[in-house]
Amino acid sequence: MKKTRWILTAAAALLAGSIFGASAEDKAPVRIGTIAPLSGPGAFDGQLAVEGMEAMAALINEKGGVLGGRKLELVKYDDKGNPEEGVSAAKRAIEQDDVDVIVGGWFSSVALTMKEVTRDRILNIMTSTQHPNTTKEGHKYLFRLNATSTMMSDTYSKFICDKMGLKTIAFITINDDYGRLEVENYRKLLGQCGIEILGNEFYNKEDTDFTTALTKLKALNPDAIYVSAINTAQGATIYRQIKQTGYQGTTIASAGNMNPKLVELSGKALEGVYSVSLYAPDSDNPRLKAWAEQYGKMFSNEPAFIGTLGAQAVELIAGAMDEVGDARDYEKLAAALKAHPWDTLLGTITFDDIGQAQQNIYLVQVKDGKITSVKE
Amino acid sequence: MDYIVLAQQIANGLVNGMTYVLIATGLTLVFSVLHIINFAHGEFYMLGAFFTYFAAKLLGVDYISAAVIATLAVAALGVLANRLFFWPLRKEHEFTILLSSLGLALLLTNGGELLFGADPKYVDSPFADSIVQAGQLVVTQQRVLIFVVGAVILLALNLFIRHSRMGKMMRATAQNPEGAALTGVNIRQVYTVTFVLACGLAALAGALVGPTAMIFPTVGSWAVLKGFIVVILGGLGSIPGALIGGLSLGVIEALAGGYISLGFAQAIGYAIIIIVLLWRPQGLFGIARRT
Amino acid sequence: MLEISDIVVRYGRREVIHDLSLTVAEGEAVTLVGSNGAGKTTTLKTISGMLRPVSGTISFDGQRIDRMEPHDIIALGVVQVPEGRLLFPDMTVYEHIELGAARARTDGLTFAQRVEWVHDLFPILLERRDQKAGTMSGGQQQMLAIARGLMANPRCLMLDEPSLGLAPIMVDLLEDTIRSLNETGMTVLLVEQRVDLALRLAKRGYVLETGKVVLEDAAASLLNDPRVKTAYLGI
Repeated sequence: MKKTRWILTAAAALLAGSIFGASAEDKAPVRIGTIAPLSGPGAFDGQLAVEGMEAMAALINEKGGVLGGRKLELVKYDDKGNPEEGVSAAKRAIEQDDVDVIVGGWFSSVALTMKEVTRDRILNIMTSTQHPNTTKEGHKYLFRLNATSTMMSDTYSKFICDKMGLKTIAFITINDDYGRLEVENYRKLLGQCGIEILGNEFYNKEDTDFTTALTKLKALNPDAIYVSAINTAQGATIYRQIKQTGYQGTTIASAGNMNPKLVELSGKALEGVYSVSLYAPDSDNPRLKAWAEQYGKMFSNEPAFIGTLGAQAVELIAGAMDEVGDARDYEKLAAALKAHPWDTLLGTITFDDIGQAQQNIYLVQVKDGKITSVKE
Repeated sequence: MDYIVLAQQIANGLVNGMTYVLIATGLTLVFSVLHIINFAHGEFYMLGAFFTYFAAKLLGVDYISAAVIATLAVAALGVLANRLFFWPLRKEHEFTILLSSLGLALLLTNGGELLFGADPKYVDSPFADSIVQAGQLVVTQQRVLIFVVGAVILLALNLFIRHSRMGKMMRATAQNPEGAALTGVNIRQVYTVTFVLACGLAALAGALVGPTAMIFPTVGSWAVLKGFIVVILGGLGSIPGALIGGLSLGVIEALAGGYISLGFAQAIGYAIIIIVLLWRPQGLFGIARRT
Repeated sequence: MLEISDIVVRYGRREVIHDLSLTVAEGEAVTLVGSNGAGKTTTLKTISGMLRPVSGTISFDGQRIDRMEPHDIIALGVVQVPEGRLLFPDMTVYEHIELGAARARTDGLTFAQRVEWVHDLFPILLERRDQKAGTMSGGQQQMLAIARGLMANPRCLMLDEPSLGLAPIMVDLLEDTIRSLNETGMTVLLVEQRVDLALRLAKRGYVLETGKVVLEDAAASLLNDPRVKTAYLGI
């Protein structure tokens, strides 16, 4: 029922471009432009992300909202996972709908073009994008929550080198900004610790069959295949098809792309597979628990990492606005975010001068169909 | 070793190609018999996959029964699609019908997202992860199933069109609709049967391919795109063309992907469209359009 | 047997048949005469159900047929052999003969008897049984079109321009065939550009001009009518 309502809302948003929430309070709500992939192959990840934001907004609104009683409201836009759509959504959010802040940038390719539209005009919290260039230039009002793929790969490659005992590896990577950078990083890092890179296959974001590429990789006979998949549908297909081509070696999942749905869809193909994540589902952080509980009340999906990033964005926006006492003074809001560590559902987060977050990175593994954090 | 990889890629390509054949056959059938270009064809592929998923989940039946139920249910939807979107417009300009089919495609995609949800789903099949090994070639049972069922269905369809009374009526309508009506062919019935067959074929493709990948409501646009590439390659309106075009596209993509790159494999479909349209617009096996 | 009263037919917004009435009695041979665009073919198509009159009625044996589908009208025994034959070029001769029987009335000759009958009428069709219709000569195609019509077991056979494009010897054969069909009791409604031929075959005739009947008389009288002579016989 709840889910149906959400889907109806999302569908309405798809048709109308944007919709306004239903809160009819005396004070004008704070409106968060939410730009995410709501259709196409990335639609499910977008849904998880927006659900995470909804749950956090509901928690905050329950406690009286922000700035002395203003409710948070999400104004949703569909970027379809395309840079062009992302740009046009950001323009509409700023110019037509006059939103207060923007949360977006789930896929790197979208984030990298969208940030030029929001540049110095509006507070823009980028979420799951991992491409270092998202924050490289350090726009005044731009923040990014996820670790960059470089930060992720630094941590992850250490583990791969030290613990997995591999001699050779091959990659299957999405052919976009993020994927190309991933290969570059790991070639360097894994090469340094003596793992031989046997090959890499790029796939397209519309592909549904990977047997051709996997046949090629299997023929190289690597000890492990590293899968860089940012959308759940393609990820699950790749993990299953790796087993279906008869590959017997180790499978490694790219950093930050492990979620319960992926585990469910991939079945046995994902058992024992490692990844790294900012989100440890078995953490006992009370903020995370409160959010997860609220999420469970509102939605039928299991909360996922991408949802926690959305929730963290909302949490930080609310915190900064309350601290500054204004929803539109971006100068002060940005300064506040960078000023001190923030306590969030994912633990402590700090931002550096270019708006890049520093957060804990956990090593996780799928065990008996559950994502569990690997304790040192 | 290299020969094994080559053989493996060709096997992969033939299986993918058979999927394309099943999709393209319905598309080409609707065009040849009724002279309708149906942009909504891919959505029936999507529905076939989703109905299989839901039949298995909600009715608790096994994969094969679910696939059969889904194929029949979508074939039955073909009756409705024809009744509401195509038959009433039969005397309108072709362009109007084209737009109507585009509208139907959007309706089904958005309706699918609303009803099924945006989350990807997996059609569980007992054959999906079971491997058949022939020498050093590795194929899953599901892929063998796709190929065999595809081949059998095409053979049956060919026999039906060649020899059954309805098949003859369909051919007559394809070659001269007015002459067919004046011979006593019930044109409305021909419309219905053609859409039932086309939708059923698309749904069967969806039910068969479902377990090899994840399914989501926009997967139909992929299917119709592949269908059109095959149909342009093989010739609009030609069933042998769809067979040879589909298998060729599958193998070409597999070899291009295997020996060049997947990006190239994707581009080659579009390249085929351009080359064929420039060099032989009627397709390799196309029939010249009769007026 | 066939009764058409005050039909109005439009192509889009253009009215092409205005209040046209005509009757054909059982066993009679009637012809429609007129220049191109007078509405002869339109009238036949309207009777066959390919076009719907916007007003007026058509009845066959007292039953209204003007709202029926073509295949149901054929099932009653009203069968049109269309202008230009409208064959199926990639289908064989025998497939045409089979399809012709798709909606045949069940009384009278059986399917096998009718096959034998059309093969007797046109032996070439037996000879060319497995040949594709598109590869045959115009005369052979016309025979096939008539055979296909006869397979429907008609009570009223409507022929639209059967002599069009045929060699003189074929036209003679055609004339004999139509006459013998009529003599064995089949009702015939004939549209024919060769007015002399049409009026020789028919008992009565209607002259159509711009969608209206302007003259109706016995065929013999029409042959001698000065208006018909100058306008259609070129005398």
